[in-house]
Amino acid sequence: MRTSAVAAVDLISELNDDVLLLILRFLPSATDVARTSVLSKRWRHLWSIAPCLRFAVGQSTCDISDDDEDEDEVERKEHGRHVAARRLISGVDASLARRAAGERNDVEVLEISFVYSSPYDRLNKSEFWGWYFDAHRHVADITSSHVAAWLRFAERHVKGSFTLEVPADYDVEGRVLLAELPCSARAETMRLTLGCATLTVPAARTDAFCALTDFHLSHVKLAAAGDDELCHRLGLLLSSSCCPQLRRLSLKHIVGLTALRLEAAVTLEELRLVYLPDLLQLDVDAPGLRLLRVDHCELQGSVARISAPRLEVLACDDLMHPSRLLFDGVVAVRHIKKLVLYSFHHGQDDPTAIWVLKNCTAVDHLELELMIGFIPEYKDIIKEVPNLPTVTNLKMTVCEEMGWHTIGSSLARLIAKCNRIEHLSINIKSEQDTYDYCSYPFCICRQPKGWEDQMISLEHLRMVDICGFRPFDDQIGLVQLLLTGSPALDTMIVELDGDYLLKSQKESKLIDFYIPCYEGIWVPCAWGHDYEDELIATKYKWTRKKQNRGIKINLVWLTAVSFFYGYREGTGGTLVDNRGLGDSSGSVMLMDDTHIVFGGRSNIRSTEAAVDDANDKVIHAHVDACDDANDKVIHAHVDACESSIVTRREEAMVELYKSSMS
Amino acid sequence: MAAATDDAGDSNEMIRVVSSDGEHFEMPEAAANLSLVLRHMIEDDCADAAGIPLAVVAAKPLAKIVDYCTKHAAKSSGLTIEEAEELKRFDAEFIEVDTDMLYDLLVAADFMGVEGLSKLAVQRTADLIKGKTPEQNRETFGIVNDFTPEEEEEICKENEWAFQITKPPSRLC
Repeated sequence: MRTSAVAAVDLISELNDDVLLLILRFLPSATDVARTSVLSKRWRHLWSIAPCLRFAVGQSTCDISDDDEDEDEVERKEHGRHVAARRLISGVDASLARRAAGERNDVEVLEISFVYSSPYDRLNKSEFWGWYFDAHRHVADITSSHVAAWLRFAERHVKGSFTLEVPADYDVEGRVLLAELPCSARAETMRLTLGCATLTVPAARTDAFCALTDFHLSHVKLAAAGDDELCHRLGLLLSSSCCPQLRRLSLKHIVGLTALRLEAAVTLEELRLVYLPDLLQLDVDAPGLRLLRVDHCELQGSVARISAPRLEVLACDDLMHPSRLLFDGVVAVRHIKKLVLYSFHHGQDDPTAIWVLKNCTAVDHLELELMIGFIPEYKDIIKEVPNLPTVTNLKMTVCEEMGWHTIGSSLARLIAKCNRIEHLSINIKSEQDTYDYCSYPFCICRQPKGWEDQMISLEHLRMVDICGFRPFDDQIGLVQLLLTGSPALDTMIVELDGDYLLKSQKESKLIDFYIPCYEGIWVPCAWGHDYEDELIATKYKWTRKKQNRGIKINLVWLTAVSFFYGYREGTGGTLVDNRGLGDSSGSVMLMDDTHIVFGGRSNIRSTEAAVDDANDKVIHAHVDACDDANDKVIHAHVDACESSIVTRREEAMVELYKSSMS
Repeated sequence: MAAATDDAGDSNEMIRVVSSDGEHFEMPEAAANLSLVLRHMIEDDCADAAGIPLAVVAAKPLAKIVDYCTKHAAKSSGLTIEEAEELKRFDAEFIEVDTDMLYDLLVAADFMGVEGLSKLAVQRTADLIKGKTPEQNRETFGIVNDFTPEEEEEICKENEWAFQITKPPSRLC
């Protein structure tokens, strides 16, 4: 039955108002809802009582890859978007005015968004206010009186969720946007992004937000920056007397907030303070708080007292200096979601990050951002990191300022402090081009001598995931260290860095590296194309060889020619490799669970093959003996290991030479 | 066909329902419980061998509803990601129906209080409406325009912003 079938009789209009309003509630935009008013008399009045109104300028059309577009065309598009956005501004005004004058004027959901939504991070956060990928020309058309009218409507008529997003006006000069924080005893969720408006805060009154559970405020300047009275009022408004139900609070991109004193309701679970550049004093009492994020706040000179005895998750780039920080609850933290650690530090005192690591004594889940610098006279901070025996899950993003080849050694030192980890995940962000091998004469290598000879013992480590890997000496050394030091390891996944692959491709350079197998096998598990458009592996997976599961199989040995032109056509097996087979070229074909066909030139005496089959299994084949004269394998062993890595059956291949003979 | 009400375990019990046009259907009790109305009837011991009569639901939509409830009851709690995906696919296929059946399902799901199905049918209807012109929507649903041209013009004027379209907003495409 196709849905395009046209209804002969109008049945939908016979549905009762409740069902029709429910349908309108599911429409994504107020435009759609408004247009139903002209369908017929039956539908006429529904628009004026629709429970949800969503006005949005829609998606970003910005396509980052699309550089070559003709300028006139861009201008035409931009103009069209500007006209549409202006129309929407008057649409919001007209609709809200009409609604306010009507009888059933309460709205459950009101969303007004003049910021283009984007699958990418729509606001690049490299600057304080950020900037958008798209031009928001309509910024200049949104005036204080618009904002005031919308906020007033929300204050009076929204009983559920209210969202207002006004784009930041970072490029409009001389424009003043004013707004007053709306109070509503009925709103449950309020998300206000106010386009860098100068905000006034009303005097606190009890139950100003008595139903509010979620509050988000961003992109505002507090009127008269540094005005203690306003900061005080804001703190009071968000405290338990005015917000008795608040569960999530987020304050972002706020200028002029010098002091925040919060006596939060016991319901408050999540508090996010991000980009508050003027914050000098933070005083938080949050008996029920579970998550605290303090990020991009430039707090080194600030003072804080935080009481959050039930805290579980902490995320911060930096906190106040330990001497100016009273933090009750830090020992309860189980999960550090973000912590930035610079490997070298100026001055005698340890940075706050070290204080956090020393004091969060119950952490089992640690996510670190390690920035590797190198200044000889500075203090080596990794040395100051305490042993972290409670951590079971370690996730690190590592960034090296220059190509010093110290990623491997630095990470090894850090990992050695977490000797009970079970899961390790490393994301390497190499920003600088660098020489692959330290043997190159111009390599500015700072690798400590002999670091890779150390042993790290990680008895509980089971799973390692590395991405952004470049096959440089130090990174290969780290992988080897992990393989040798982790007796319980069963899987390691190494994904090559995309930029590195691209660069090698541009320079027509072969990616060629060798990592021994130790007690397992390496199998490629994701594919890309090299400069000759050949398939190359971009991701490898190591799994431990399973013992005692050997079964005998029959193998047929064929020459490459007969394999490709004869055998393959007739049998319907799965081609699993057509590249290397030991030192010769050849192919491996999986026929079924117990039959593997090797095809290739005959100079192979003994080899091993790891084969992906269609059933997501890795079969590890070991050829014991072959009959050279007749090109036949006489005897082979196969271990069947279970694994689930084959995503594209046709492209599953085998890296024979990499897994042969560790 | 004998009603399978003599089984021991409650969860295995089959519930009989009768459509407005007299057709009989059976489904497991767990499936019937997804309907608020049926659940209340079962709790009040109104489910007997004769079957629960559903005065406003015809056989055609009832067959679909029984299908829906049976599928969803079998996979109600503790879904794995794959199972949830499969259920989603089932729903997507299930609701690919013409507007007449969609109407029947909207009415029946509302009447029987099958919340998940109500939502599914309402979402489907909204998906058919969104991003279309009024003329297209009238055609889809067979809605007769009973306004005079003057009335129509006046309504369009009231909401001028919603009717002038340079191009459809991209989120609706």
